[in-house]
Amino acid sequence: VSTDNDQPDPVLAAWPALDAPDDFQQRVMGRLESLPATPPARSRRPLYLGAALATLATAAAVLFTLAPVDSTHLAQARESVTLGRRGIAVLEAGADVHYRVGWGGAAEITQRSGNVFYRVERGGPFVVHTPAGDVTVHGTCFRVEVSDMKAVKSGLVGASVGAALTAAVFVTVFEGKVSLANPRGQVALAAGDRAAASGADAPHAVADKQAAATTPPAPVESLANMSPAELQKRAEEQRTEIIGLHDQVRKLRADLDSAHAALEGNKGEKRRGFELEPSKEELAEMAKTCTLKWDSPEMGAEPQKIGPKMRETFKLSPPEAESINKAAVQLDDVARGLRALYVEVTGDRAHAESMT
Amino acid sequence: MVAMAQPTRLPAGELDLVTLERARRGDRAAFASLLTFHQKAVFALLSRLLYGRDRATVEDVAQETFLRLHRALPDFQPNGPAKLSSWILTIATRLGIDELRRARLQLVPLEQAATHAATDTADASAIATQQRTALTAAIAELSPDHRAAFLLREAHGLEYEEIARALDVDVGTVKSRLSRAKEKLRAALAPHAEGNVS
Repeated sequence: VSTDNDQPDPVLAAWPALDAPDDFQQRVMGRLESLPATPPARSRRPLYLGAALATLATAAAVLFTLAPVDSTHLAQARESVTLGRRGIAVLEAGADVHYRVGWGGAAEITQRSGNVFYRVERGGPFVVHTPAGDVTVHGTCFRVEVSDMKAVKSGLVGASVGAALTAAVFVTVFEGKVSLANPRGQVALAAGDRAAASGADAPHAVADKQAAATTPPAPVESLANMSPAELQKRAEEQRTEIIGLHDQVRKLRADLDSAHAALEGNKGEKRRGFELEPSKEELAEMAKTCTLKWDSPEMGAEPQKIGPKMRETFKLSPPEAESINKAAVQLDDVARGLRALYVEVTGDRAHAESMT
Repeated sequence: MVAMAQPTRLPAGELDLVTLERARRGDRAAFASLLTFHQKAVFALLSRLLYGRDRATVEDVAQETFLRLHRALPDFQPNGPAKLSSWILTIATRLGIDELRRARLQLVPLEQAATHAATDTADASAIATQQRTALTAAIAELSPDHRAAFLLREAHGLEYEEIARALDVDVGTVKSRLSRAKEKLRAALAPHAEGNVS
């Protein structure tokens, strides 16, 4: 630090500086003694170590999550299986599933038999291979039932392992989209759809819509084993879900009503042939800004009358043509009045005649 | 060719790093050394910046400078962009400007200033009364920021960037303030420079 001793500047030479008093250091240190001790400089090493450990732990967790999984399950009773990070499968008794989730998150399930409910998370392809076709998932929540033909006839309950040729698959979609495909064809399914396929048949939608509305199965934990608090929580969740569904239905109905109304409105316009048909709300808005709109034929220099040729073109009867001509004359009177008003207000007689 | 290990050279006016590190870790003796090392510069700056204020005020602000420095020292980064000396002068400058803004500058009567200066600096007794009168008037016309910019640059040799950080303004503003301050102060002394200032 330079001080005035180093500076030949005449201003600084004339601008005297004071020295610290002899006891200045003691005074300051005395004040410091009366203050709480200053925390020493924090070493950053523990911080770095902590950050490094946290990073390692995160990396380990990520690796654990991303690690491929490969497993086979033959359910003896209802069983919930976590499909790596790609979702959950709830296997009903008798379901036979082999699944593999790769590093990239691609999931490949081979469902040989049984009834399995899937809830799928995002993260790559998700395919369920069945003896009767492959289910490719574009959504999140669906059910796949693989049954032998006998089981199909008896109501699709209690599926068992059967030969590929006799197997059938039923897919019910609760959310999102899936496609069901086998060598004979493919069908795309959205929420609420249900489709079937067998070794002999191409996948096709089935009319059993009621089945699509089936509530997903309860969690694997038996209701009997749940505590009152858990049961209450589950009931609350279901109530919330029902309210949400009701809202969806209400919205869909409103959309439908709007579409119907729009359709009717279009019909009305065509029937009347008017371009201006404001709603009550539009009228209210126009009133707020004192806006005037009207629907009328063009104002020409002469009234537009219907002659014999035009009458024939529009297939009008003589009385109809006469009514129109009367109206045209009346409109011409109005137009003349408007032009006069325009001239009175603006004094612009030149343009009055060209107003249309 | 034989390579010779060279001891780390400290910049002029800077405390050695060992003492600084000890002070940062809360060593009171090290802080006392730091204080002794920097108190001259702090007093030189503050006594000029607070020109016209009494000595007690200067000492109070200087003391507050070191108390704040003590609190903030653990966060000082020796390898950071700021030198410790500049950092200390920044603290002192800001406290000094605050003090100046707290109330309008009360200039010390010339007779008292002359006595004051004669008591505290041996060379000051040679300065002519007219010169001091002119300088006092010129200093009084400068704003605290202009005064600080001039002192930090001309008396303490800080770089423009360091002054900009200390005053929390951009470098361009520092340069314009410096220019204005120099012009005023030197103009005030010019008529008396010949024969009076050596």
